Amino acid sequence: MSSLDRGHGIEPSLVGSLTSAAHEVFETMVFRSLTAGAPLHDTGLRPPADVVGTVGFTGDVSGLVTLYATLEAAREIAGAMFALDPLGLDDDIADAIGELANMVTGVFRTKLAGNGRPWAISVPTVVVGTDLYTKYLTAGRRVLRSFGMGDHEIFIELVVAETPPDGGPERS
Amino acid sequence: MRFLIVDDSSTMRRIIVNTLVKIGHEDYVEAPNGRDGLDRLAAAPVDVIITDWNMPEMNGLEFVRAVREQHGPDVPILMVTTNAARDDIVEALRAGVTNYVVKPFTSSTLREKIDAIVPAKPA
Repeated sequence: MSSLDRGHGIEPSLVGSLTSAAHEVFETMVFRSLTAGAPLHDTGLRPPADVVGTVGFTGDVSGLVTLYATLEAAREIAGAMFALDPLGLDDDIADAIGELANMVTGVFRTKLAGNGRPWAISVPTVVVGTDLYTKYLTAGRRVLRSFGMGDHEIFIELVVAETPPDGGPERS
Repeated sequence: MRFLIVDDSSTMRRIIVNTLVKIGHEDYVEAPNGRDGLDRLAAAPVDVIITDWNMPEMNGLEFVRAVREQHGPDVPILMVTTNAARDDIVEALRAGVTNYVVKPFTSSTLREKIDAIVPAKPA
């Protein structure tokens, strides 16, 4: 049964897999522990963000994983990944957030692929700006979860595409 | 010993370079995709290749297959990837990968994998 067959929300196991992936990646590559907030379903909430990394996935369900960070949080993440002073980092911040989104989605994908079915993920895209938000033009369900990281708060969003009436999502 | 690091992420290339330098390997070249990696290989041989899987232009599997076709089976190839499902690993090994590291990884894990595929120095 896909997440959408249940009529409302995204299947808790998907949210749990993504949350677990985020913890694993941050602890291993960023050397930071995360404190997860409650998942917020389809609220339309706009998380504060200056750096946004997105990776698509497709398999039994298709969708997007998006990581939102303020510039300060992104700078700290990049500094931790490179073992460098965060204040000296500028150009590398976007790539670090893209790689982080890629790894979180990759681990998420691996957890979902445990049943042996093929899943694929896209290469990451990153947008850097001021007070960014994402408006999705295609139908889908979304869940947004905040994560405390020291003095910072980041957000990870899972968007699952609506399943076409005649079958599962198309695979790319 | 000369390394070729192929990854579209400058972040991941930097993490790999930092690890290589830590363990005493300071001779390396970098490429942002498989196509550029093949150009680097054509320009000068390397002793070890470390490559990502999920890349634009030419992905890691295509790159590995091309390396094996053009340069033979000898150079060790370590694939660094988020693709950790059993079928993915089998596919990578069939393409010619020598060993793999699943992201996320610790620097000690990467070091162990590199040590395992790098031929021992003659006494």
